[in-house]
Amino acid sequence: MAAPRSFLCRLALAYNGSSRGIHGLSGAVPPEGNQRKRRTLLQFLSDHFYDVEALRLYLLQIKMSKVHQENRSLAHIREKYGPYIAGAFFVLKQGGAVKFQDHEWIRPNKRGHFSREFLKLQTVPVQAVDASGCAINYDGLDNLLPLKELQSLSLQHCPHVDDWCLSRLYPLAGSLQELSLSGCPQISERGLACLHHLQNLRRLDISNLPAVSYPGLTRILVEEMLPNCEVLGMDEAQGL
Amino acid sequence: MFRRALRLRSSRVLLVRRLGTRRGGSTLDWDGKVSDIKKKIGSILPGETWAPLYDTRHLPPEHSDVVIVGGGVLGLSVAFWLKQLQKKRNGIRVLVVERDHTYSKASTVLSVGGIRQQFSLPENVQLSLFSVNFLRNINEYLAVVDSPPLDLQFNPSGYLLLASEQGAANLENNVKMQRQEGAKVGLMSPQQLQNKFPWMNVKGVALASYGMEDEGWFDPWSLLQGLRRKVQSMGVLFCQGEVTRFTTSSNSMVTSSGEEVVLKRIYEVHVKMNNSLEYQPVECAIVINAAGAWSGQIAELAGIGKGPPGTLKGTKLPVEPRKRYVYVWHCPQGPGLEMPFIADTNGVYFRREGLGNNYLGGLSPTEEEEPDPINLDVDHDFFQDKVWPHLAQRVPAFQSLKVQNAWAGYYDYNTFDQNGVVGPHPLVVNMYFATGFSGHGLQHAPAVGRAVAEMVLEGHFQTIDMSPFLFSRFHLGEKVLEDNIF
Repeated sequence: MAAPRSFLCRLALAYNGSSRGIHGLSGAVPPEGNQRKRRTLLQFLSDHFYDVEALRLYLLQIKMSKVHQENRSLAHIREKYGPYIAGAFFVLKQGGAVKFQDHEWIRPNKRGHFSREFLKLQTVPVQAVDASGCAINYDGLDNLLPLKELQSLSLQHCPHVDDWCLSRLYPLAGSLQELSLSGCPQISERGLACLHHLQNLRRLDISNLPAVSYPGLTRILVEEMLPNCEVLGMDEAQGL
Repeated sequence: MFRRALRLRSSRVLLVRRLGTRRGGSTLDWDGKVSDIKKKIGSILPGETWAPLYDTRHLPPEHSDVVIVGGGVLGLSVAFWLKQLQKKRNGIRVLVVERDHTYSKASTVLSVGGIRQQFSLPENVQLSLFSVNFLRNINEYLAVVDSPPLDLQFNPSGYLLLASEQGAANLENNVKMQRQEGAKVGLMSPQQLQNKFPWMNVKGVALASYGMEDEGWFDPWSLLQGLRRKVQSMGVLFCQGEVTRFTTSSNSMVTSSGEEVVLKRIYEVHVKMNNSLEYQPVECAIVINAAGAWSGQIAELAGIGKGPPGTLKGTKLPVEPRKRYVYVWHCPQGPGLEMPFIADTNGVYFRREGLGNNYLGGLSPTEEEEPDPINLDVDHDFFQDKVWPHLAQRVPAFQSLKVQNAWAGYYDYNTFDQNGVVGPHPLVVNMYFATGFSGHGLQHAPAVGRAVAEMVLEGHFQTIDMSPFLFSRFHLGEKVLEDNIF
């Protein structure tokens, strides 16, 4: 049934309201006027027929389950190769980059392929992870939290990273020095409040967070909360 | 096509009228009569309600499989899970009867909105863990096509429970049990507390437990609206009315020891409309009592508790409304963003609200000081005398504060053991309870809804075993006490 399913998926992508792939599932919806204008045939039909509505709900759930599939726990890899390899494999599979201690950055190429050379580095800790733009979510962080020597984590423009994910970062408090959350559409000041566990943080990038309601005030409060940390972004000129 | 015919017909009727006015003045309201006839014909068309005598759109349907009394978060959660777990689409018709659609006195919306796993009963911890999982994935569970995703405004700041010398051993045991169940809770000594929260005065604190993850507070109104929206899209019917009567049929049976037991079944629910005497008898198979603070009254209507005291027949549902106050104050030098939801040794609880140095909190009064639950008026002296001294002692910055706002809400207080009642009644066999949670109903609502739906559809609890919470414990005298109630 491969052909009909791919046709359905393309149908979903083409007609399904304002969604654009994985980014459409994030909380930053475009303003109401935009949605009104793009009233498509499928939306009209789903207002009048239960079957079409059920079909659209099913397609939405397929999209969500795809994100879950990408974030499944790699327990078998962790048992075989250790936590560092499992974390690195997870990040590389999602399209991010990984840096082991005393080694260069490992990135997948344009087609998503990456060399398996890092499988030899079982005892070398992972120093930095760049997961920008990846579809990492709360469950996927399972694979990153055992990296006890992680010093730099970049979660820029990740559409599924939200306040719940930030509350989960406290196990990295011992080593994490640099954290970048710039451009994540679902992070608000409530999630930033639980970063107070990360006492070793020296650089925090919270620029361009659309869901934070009072950027200037939030920046002041975060600076008070983390006195040793340099907070980037959210200039005081923007809405105090 | 019908409408064009109607228009033509009406124009021809007017012509006829002008010609035949000599026939006499019996048809003074001809235009009114014509518009009546047009409405009646319009109601025969497919998709419209057919009500030849009078308009019945506001009345509930005459038959329904399940009637849920109470449309708060527990009632809607049961409706959601009933629809979610039904095997066939539209296989079960559910009606939610809610007296007040503005929810002005409902416990759900007046609640402080906290969720925690720090309980002393393992079942309560499991309920909280399930519910927090539900809230985390709420946009998958409550996804409605073409609606924006739900924002619960969850603050994952955690709960901090403080214990004095007497309560320290208890706290430690509780934390051990909570960690075994899977909650992420840690213990802190007074020194660690002082380092972490320099604005706190740790005098009198022997031990503290801090929830690192999955604990915090959220907006109950958005959860309610999200559930409502999803449940309406799944086909659950809503009715604004009050349940005034249950019509029951009895069946007398003999137990194996020769005792005669009278089992009752509710076969009809009378739903009365607001501000009118009009009522609709709804024939039903199952009734779910999720009426919150008024569950006791609903149970009495079904005849629960009408019998000689000490027998199962005479055991009432011990849920009654208790008034609790919540105060909001502003303190410019108060704690910052890192402040968790703090529950002090004497029961005073408070948390941060928003970014503007506002805080809210309260205290559950002792049994002797219980206020009269007849209305929701706020007693400001209670804050001055009982709450403020403790606040000022725990957080010295709170010595100067200004109360901005206060409100009162009801706890559906279970006078027996302050824990919920879930499951069917042994004698009124088709009434299921989902009430009595005494202040922690909101945080357990998704899990309890699922438990009741499983009980109704499968006949037993599947995900979480809620058998300690059945009604029969009131007759048997088995208390399931919960220590951490604020």
